[in-house]
Amino acid sequence: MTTDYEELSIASLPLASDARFIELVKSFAVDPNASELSDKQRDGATAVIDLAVEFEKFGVASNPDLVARVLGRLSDIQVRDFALGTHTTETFETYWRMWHYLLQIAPIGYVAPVATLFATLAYERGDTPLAYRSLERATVDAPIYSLTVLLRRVFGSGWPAAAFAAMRIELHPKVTAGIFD
Amino acid sequence: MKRLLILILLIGFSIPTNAVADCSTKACVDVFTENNQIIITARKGSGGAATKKPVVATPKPKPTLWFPPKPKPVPTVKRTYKPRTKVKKVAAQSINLSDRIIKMVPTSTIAYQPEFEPLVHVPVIFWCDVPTFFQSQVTLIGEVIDFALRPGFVWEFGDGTSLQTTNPGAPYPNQKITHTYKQPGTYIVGLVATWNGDFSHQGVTRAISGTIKIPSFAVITVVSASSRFTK
Repeated sequence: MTTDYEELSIASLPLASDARFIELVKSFAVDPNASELSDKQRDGATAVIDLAVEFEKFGVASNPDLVARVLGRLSDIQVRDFALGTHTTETFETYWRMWHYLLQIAPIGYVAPVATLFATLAYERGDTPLAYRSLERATVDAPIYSLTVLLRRVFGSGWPAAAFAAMRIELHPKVTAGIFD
Repeated sequence: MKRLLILILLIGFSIPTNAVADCSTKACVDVFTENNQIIITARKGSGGAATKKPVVATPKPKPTLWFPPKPKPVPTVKRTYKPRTKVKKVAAQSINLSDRIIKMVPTSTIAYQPEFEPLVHVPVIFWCDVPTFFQSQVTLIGEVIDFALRPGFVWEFGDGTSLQTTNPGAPYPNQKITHTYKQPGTYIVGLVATWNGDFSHQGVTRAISGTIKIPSFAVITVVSASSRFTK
């Protein structure tokens, strides 16, 4: 059985290997031992929302700095977990386009967070093969990435997509409070 | 040619006869997992198509000009015995019985101590409220089936570390499952409980095919301890 999205390409675009873009993404990477860690986490969470607004308005990302900021900041687990719960039923399509684009332009070493985020959306959409393909990209980028391992187990358990979405919605306020409070 | 025909006839008749004999003489019971549920099925009988009466075409009456003779009066006989009551027909050997039951395994909830703002570099105790053993007995078409399942747990602590165990953990002072966070932050803790087991029927124990995986999640906010020096 095939779905509309099964053949959707999630392979890297040329921008992913652009030296200047890679440097820009690296400049936003979060060092877990940094003294201003909380500021960077807040900056990352805000950047995710700002980029989603841009995708909502224009359908594409026109600000390379903002795109690189999101990709770099997603290296932090808190920012990634915040991003995990940001989409709703109304904004699903916007986030779908956004994470799909970011997955295709993420440089090596920055693929796993966005690949796991896109995998969750694919799973919630009912496209489990695409969700697994996305997890595969995450594994290639970071073989022992924790969320990839967890999602593989969750998807493998046959957990209903609706239950997964409910879990995300339930956890999101707590994650948000952890970053902004 | 004749031998080949005999061989075909033998094969053709022997397989279904054996299959029928299996479930017609004793009940066929199976326990397996499907959609994270335990399915128990039992079947007794020939197992093939349900017993049906042969359909005999009754000829429609043709219109004739012949009138049947009036029935002769039947002499009334005084009954000295009890009139016959309608007796239910005993089920024939070819009748099929089958039933199916769906059972759920316990779901788990994650708990941890200290409940309020655990500190970095201090072990956090985790546990879940899942029994280490889940057993049940069901009766299907008169057959008693016992089954038992045991869980295994995979913990993902949200910071990149995981733990595989068969122990559900417990609150303090039990410290079977602990994890120490190195960085302050809010982490999504995931737990996948995997259930495996076996079932027994008429003294025979067999493995339940498949596993049941139940995920559960929790959020934990770990804070750094601020030092305060006083005089």
